[in-house]
Amino acid sequence: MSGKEEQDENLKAFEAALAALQPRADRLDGRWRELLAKEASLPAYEAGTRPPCASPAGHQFVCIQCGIAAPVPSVVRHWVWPTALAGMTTIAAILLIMLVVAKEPPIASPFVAQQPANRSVSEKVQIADFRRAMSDSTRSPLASGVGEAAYLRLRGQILRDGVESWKSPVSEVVTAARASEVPLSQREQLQRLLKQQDFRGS
Amino acid sequence: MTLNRMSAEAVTRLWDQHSAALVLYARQWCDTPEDVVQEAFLLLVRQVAAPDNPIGWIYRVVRNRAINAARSRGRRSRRETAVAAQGEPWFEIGDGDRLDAAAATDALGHLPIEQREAIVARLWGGLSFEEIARLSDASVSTVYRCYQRGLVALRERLGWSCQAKKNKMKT
Repeated sequence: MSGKEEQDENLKAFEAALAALQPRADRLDGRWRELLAKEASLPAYEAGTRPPCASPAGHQFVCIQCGIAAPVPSVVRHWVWPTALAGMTTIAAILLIMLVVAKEPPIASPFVAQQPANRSVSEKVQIADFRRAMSDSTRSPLASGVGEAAYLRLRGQILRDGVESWKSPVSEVVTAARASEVPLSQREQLQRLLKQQDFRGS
Repeated sequence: MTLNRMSAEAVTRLWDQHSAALVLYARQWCDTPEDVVQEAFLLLVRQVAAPDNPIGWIYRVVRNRAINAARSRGRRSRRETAVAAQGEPWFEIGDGDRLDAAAATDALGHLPIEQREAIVARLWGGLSFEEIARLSDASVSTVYRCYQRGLVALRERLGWSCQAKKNKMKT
């Protein structure tokens, strides 16, 4: 006899020896036997019998009315929570992977104003002077009084013909400077500007 | 479900055959198994229509009531792990028994509840594995596995292998 068969035989013998033990029943009340027989012989509803519960609402774990166990939940209900847990875990894992794999946003480079390549040095000086003159109120043509008439004419021209009729003085200065290729001083630039406006006004 | 109540003879026959095993079964969870079994039989008698499987029905009711009783006392965890601490043997002491009742009680008390339930219901309740599976809301294979593992554990704890070899050598 092989070892496994011997083990099985041994287990069967042990099983039989265990089953031979008699469970204790000495604490059971012997009068219950007669009581049960008496209850069973009585008609229904005379021995305190209650009808079975009509609705399963009373079957919480064991119904206190009739002792019928609560209905066993369907198999589907056993899988609701594990399915929900698996779904949420999957979503969390996907979000974590996206967070780790995501590329870093590009660092914005500071804005550097690009100067036009074809501007000459004289043009840059003239533009810088003009900007300085326009920003400085003490040396503006309006404050000096010389350009007041020109201003009034310019205002009337714009009101009549629109803003488009007024050419940018910067481009004109630049064009003139480019044509003459002689650097103009600030005073000369302003005078030229006023002359041009006087000419258009008249 | 049949439309007739259980007859007195059927109830008393059921009581004579299964009351002791039901007490042992209820003892897995609560310390008042006799009350649980008596109440379960009373409920069975008072059913308007007798269940198709009275044995399975009453085992189910006893199980649920025993668990309820243990939970209401708030001692369920202690009950599942140290039932044998009661000190009372669960079996009658007989001269011809090949196993010691007190030792068997102690060994059963140290088994996990699933294994102990399967062994008690199978060996003394006479239930099939399918019925035990329905009772404990588990699969038949799980119940069978628990039963086998419980038997092996009991055999080792009681030293049955050594004892059997000695008896064999003597003969």
